[in-house]
Amino acid sequence: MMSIKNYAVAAVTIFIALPMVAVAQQRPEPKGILENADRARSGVRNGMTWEVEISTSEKGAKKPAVSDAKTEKKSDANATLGTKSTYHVKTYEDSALVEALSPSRSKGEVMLFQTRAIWFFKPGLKRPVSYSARQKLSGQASNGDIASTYYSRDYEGKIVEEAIEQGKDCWVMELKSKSDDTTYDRIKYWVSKKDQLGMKAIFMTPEGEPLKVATFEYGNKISHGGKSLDFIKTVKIEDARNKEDYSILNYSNPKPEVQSPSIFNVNNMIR
Amino acid sequence: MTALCIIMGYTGLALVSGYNERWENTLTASTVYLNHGGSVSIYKKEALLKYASKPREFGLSKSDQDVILAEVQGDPKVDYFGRYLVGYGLVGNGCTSVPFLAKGIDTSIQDKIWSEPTVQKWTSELMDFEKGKPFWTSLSENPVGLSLGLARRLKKSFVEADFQDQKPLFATTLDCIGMDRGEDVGDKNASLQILAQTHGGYVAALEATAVNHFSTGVAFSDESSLLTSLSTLQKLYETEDITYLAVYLKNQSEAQSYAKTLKLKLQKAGLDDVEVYPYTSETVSPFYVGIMSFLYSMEIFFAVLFLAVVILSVVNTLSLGLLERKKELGLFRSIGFSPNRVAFMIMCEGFVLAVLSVALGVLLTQLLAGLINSLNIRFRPVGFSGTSKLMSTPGTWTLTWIGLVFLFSVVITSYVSAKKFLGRNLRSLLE
Repeated sequence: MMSIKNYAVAAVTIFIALPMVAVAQQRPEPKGILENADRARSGVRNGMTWEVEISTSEKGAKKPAVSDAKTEKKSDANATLGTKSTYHVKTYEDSALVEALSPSRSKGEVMLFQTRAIWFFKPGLKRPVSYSARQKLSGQASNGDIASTYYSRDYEGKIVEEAIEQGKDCWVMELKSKSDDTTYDRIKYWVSKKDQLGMKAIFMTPEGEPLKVATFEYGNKISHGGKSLDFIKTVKIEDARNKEDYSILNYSNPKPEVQSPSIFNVNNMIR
Repeated sequence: MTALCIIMGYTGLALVSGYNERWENTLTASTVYLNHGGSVSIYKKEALLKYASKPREFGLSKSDQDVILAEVQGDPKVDYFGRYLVGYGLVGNGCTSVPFLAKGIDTSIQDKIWSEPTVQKWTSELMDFEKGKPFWTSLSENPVGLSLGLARRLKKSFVEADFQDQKPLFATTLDCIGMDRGEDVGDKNASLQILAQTHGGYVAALEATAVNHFSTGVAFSDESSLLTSLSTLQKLYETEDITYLAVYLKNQSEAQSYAKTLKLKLQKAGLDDVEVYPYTSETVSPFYVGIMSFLYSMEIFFAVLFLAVVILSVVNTLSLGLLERKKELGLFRSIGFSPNRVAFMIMCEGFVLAVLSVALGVLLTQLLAGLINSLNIRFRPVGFSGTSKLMSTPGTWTLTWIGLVFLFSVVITSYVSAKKFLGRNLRSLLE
């Protein structure tokens, strides 16, 4: 027979545990959260276009290279190195075609993303060159940061805690790469609970060492299916150890636009 | 018996030393000339650690180069100098890309390097291209040489020379799966695409032509090395900087002292953020220093071993000889010869024996070395990418110092053994 004391302890335990179970039950599926967050960073899957300007700042680069002297801002000795590039991005399902608009030295350069494979082509080359999503494109931004941002496709996620980021209640998720050719091995990802937007990410090595820290801001809107959806406006990617080395990606003119699948064929790049 | 021991010991040590001497000459010629290290190389401070990640900060700028050249040019010790740029990136065949480590070399001195007598004599095996011709003789816009491993990984079997009589073929749609399997996919050309990040932080690419396949001679670098001209690599990385400047001295043995002097001169000229390394520095030539340290250790081990055998043999045979000549020695003592005088006579006998044995050892060494060198015995040294001919080339100095060591050892051993033996009282010697 249970004593009254035991009944009381059981009642208190249930009283405390019930809300926790309820909270746990309220947690949505990680995959669903990632899909929603992806949509605000990659747009709709049947076709999108936008422009992205990448500005970088890198300390310790003391002098300008020849090309900078000719085409870009000159930096003084000991000054921070800065580069600025603009790209026009067309996406369709898991593919993206990225064309360089500026600086003048990069005009005509094209990058094609096919799932996780990336091809680079520029006038004068007889063949495109395949390369990695992890390779740094400009400053702290890797190639994969431009267009290959389908975390729901490339990563296995789980919610590990809750926190406030940029004044919003967020799920904190741990993402682990499903394959070797993703942009990052591990990501700690803050997604707002209310509108399910990625607010912050820490990109990490397989051992959990932070490499870069990214913060996301959403000021753009796109119309899709009669709804107005948030779309990424700014991403700032900082070196985790040296905050003076960073890249800022500014997104503009995002719009859903049906794309012809043929433009995403690597064999068409050289024609 | 003693003579035989001296002859065998001398010959064995001379052959081992000759083997080491061969490798020292080969590695020196390879490190200084073929791998473009120079007798002395000048880098920006910490460049060897940080250049790969921050080439803009740790490269030698045009003004740095001018200061260095002002000190180097006209120096009577300097034969010539060259500027070099090192860089990383990806090289592709239209389907796959593999990482490379490229060196852009100063082609203006390439003919001088290749005609160096030491290069011709000691590294002729490494100068032969597996396929193609020197890239600096090509008229293509961006000619490159691919190391054997890199060419294999790229499945790029064609070089420019294959298309002198026929036109290169470019498949309209490339069958990458077939190419990966090594099938004929109708793509026959020496075309390559090189991709890298410029020193200014942008992605850049060049269309290049494979002109030759070469072996670096070293297993780990044979998988990823690419050689091209300094101007091609500077165009790719969009820079006027270089990674290092190599100074080729007339006399390699002056490398260490010249490096110290040059460093002081550069400091006086206001360039104090550079390092000057002789080719014998482990920092710039770890392979050379590592291999030579191993070979020297091996030589010391064999020298100790052979000398120990010779000394023990001399002690042994001399003891027996002294016992046999006990009465004769006693007689010398009894007619007034001091123990020192008798020991000196025995030492002189040992000296004559050693001189004759060493002379025979020199002859035997030359004979065996000639035989070994003519047999063309090939083997694969540890860390090397190909086979090498087994050779022993002991020089005059090597033969001389080994001879002197053996002479000294035999003479001292004879004297000490005799002195000890003659220390007995006269009666015991005459019994």
